[in-house]
Amino acid sequence: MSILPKSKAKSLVQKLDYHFRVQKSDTRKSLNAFISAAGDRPGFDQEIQEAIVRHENGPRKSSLDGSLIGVKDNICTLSEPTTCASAILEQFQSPFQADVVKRLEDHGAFVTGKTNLDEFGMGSHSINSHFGPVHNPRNRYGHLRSAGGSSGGSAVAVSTQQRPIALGTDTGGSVRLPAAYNGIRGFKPSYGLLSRWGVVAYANSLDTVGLMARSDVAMYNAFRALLMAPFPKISSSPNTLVQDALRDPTVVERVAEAVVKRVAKAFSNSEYRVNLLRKFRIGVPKEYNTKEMDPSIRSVWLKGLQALQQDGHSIHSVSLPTTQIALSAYYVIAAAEASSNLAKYDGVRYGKPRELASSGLASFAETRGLFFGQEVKRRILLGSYTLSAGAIDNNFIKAQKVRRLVQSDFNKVFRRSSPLVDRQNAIANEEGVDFLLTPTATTLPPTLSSLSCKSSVDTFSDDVLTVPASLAGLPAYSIPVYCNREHNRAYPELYHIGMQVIGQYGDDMDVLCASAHFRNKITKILRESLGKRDPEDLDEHSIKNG
Amino acid sequence: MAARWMERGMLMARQRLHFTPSFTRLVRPYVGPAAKHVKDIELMLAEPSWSVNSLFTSHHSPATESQVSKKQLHHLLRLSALPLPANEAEEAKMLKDLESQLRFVQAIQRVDTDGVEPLVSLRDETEEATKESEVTVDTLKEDFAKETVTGIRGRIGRSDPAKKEEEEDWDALACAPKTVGRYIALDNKVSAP
Repeated sequence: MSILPKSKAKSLVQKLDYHFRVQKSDTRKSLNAFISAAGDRPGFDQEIQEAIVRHENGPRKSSLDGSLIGVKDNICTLSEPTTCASAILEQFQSPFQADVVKRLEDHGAFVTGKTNLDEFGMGSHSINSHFGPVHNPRNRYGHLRSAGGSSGGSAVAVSTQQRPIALGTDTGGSVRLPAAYNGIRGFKPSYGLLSRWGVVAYANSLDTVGLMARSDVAMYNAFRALLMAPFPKISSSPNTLVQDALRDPTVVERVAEAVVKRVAKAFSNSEYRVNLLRKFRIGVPKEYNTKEMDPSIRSVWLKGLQALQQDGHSIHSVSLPTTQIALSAYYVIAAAEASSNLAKYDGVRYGKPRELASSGLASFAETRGLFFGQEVKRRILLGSYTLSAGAIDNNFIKAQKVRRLVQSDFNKVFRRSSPLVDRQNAIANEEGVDFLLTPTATTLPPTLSSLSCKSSVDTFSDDVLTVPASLAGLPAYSIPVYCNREHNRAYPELYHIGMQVIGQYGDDMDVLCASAHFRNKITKILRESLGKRDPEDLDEHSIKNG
Repeated sequence: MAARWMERGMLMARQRLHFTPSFTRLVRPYVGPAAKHVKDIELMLAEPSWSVNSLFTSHHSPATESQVSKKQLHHLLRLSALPLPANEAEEAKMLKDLESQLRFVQAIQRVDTDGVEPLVSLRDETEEATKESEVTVDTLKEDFAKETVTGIRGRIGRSDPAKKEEEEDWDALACAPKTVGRYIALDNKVSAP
C-alpha cells in the first residue's frame, strides 16, 4: 500500500499494509467477501498518519487504535455505500453512520470495507446476494463450500486475514453460523445491549449487532470498545452507553448498564477476571442432538465435554423441549417483521433510478419486483400471509407465544434468573446450569453445488441450533474447536468445528471469558491426547514472525 | 362475506388436520444430575432426541389440497406491493413456494399455548421498569412547558430548537433517485381517463 510511509512504528504499518495487501490478492478477491473494498474517504491518509504517531509516541486511544475493521454491508457508514447486498439499495449512500461504527472510530479503529451478505440478511449461506455469492476459502480439493450466512463476507474477511475484526448482524444465527463454517470466533451479544441505530432492520425484535474475530483478545477488545469510552475517559464515565440508547429505544438500559459495569470491572481488576473462571455447571441440551447432526460434529462435542469434565466442570444433561418448534416460530416472526420493515423500499425516496416500464407507470410493485431478490420476495409474501387478517392469530401471535415458551425453557434451566422478569416470578434455580455448550451448526459447510439442489425452505434447517438463543435474546459465542483428521475423514480441509456457548440474558462478559477458557482447555486436552498442534496456533505464530 | 369467513374457518380446520399431533403438551424442561464418569457423557449424546426433518415431513408429502387459492395469492402480492405473476408457470411456482413455507412454519400449531402471554419483544418486564415506562402528566410536564399557542384558534405548536437543528441538518432528498427542486420526482405517464 503506497500510502503507508516507512516509519519506526513498524508494527502498525506492517499490520495495515499486510491486511490491505492480502485484500488485494487475486485469491482473496475471488472469494467475493467485499462489496465495497475500502473507502477512499478524504483524509484517510491523514488519519493513518495520526494513528502511526499515536502508536509511536502514545497515548493510544484504546487497544483498538489503528485496527482495521470490516463492516457487514447492512450497517451504515459514511465512506462507502450501504447496499444490504440488494439491487434496490445499490447506490444508497447513508447520510449518517451507525452508532456501533461511530463507537469503534472513537476508539481509533479504521472502520472500512463493506462485506458481502445475503440480501438484507435473509439466508444462511451468503449466496442470495446481488453482488454474487461469497465463497468459503476452505475450498481445497475443488469443492466450493458455503461461507455460511448471512454475515458470510465478514467471516471470510476475518478468516483470510483481510481484517482482524469485522462487524456482522445476527438475527437467527447470521454471525455464529458463518463463524463456525470459517473456523473463527463469532459473538452474538444479548439482544438490546448494542445500539442498532444505523443498522438496516430485517426482523427488528431479533436483530443484534455481532462481532467476528480470530482471537479471544481481539473479540474482547472490540466488545469492550462498543460498550465503553476510550482510554482517557475510562475512570470518569464508563457508561456513555446512555446516549446511544436514546437513539435505539430497544436497548434495555438497566441491563446494558450492568453489563458495562462488569466489563469495566473485568478490564481494571485482574482479580475479578480470575474469579470469572471458577468451576461451572455446563448444560448439554438433549434437543440439540438432532438426528441430522454430522457424526464428526457430535464426536467433537463429546470430546469437548469430556475435556471440560476432566478440567473439573460438572456436565448436566438438560432438556429445552420448545427447541423442536423454535425454528418454525422463528420463520413466522422473522418473515412477518421483514415484510413490514421492507415496505419502505419503494424506489422513491432512495434506491437506484430505473427505466420506465412499458406501462409508463412507475409503480412500487414493479420497482420492488425488479430489484428484490427471489428469497426476499418469498419471505415478504410469507410475512404478509402470517400477518393477514384471517391468519394472524393462528400464525404470528401463536409464534410469539411459542417464543415465550422458548424463553421460559431457558429461564428454567439457567442457574441465574433472567434480569428481564420480576424477582418474585423468577425461578431461583440452584440446580440450574451456568452455560449451555452445543455445536453451532449440525453440518459441516455444505458445498455450493449441494445447495443449488435444495429449495429455500430446506435451507431453513441450517439455523436449528442458533435460532433458540436468538428468540430468547441470549448471548451466544461460537468458538472454533480443533478437529483432527481422525474425527473428520470426509473433509480433511476443515480444521475446526464451531461450538457454541450460550449464557443467561446479560451474562455477556461471563460467556466471553468462560468460552475462551473452555476452548483453551479443550484444545489443550485434545492436543495432548492426539500429540499434535492446533494448526491455527501455527498460523498465528507465522504471522508474528512474517 | 359470511361465506368467505366460513371458507376461512374450513381452511383453518383443514390446516389443523394437516398435522398428526405428535406432541400437544410439551414435556417440562429439566436439568439432570451431573455426569459422574466419562461414559455418562457418552450416554447423553448416544441417542439423537429428534429429527429436524420431522418439521418437513408434511412439507415434503404432496399436498392433498392447497391452502392458498390463486385469488388469495394475488391479494397477498398486492398487500406486499409485489408484482402479480407474469404467467401461469410463475404463478404455480409462487403457490408451491408459499405452501411449502406455510407447511413448515405451521408446525407451531402442534403446541398447546393456552394461557401463554405472547413475547412481542425482549424488554425489561419487571414491575419497576413497567412503572418507569408509564407515561403520565408528570413525564410530559417538560414538553407541555415548551408548547406555544398561536393564532385565534389557539393552535398548539411544539418545537425544540436544539432538536430541530440536529434533525434537519441533512439533505433528506440526497438519496432520492430523481428530484426536481425541493421535491421528489416520479416518472409517470398520465393516462387519459
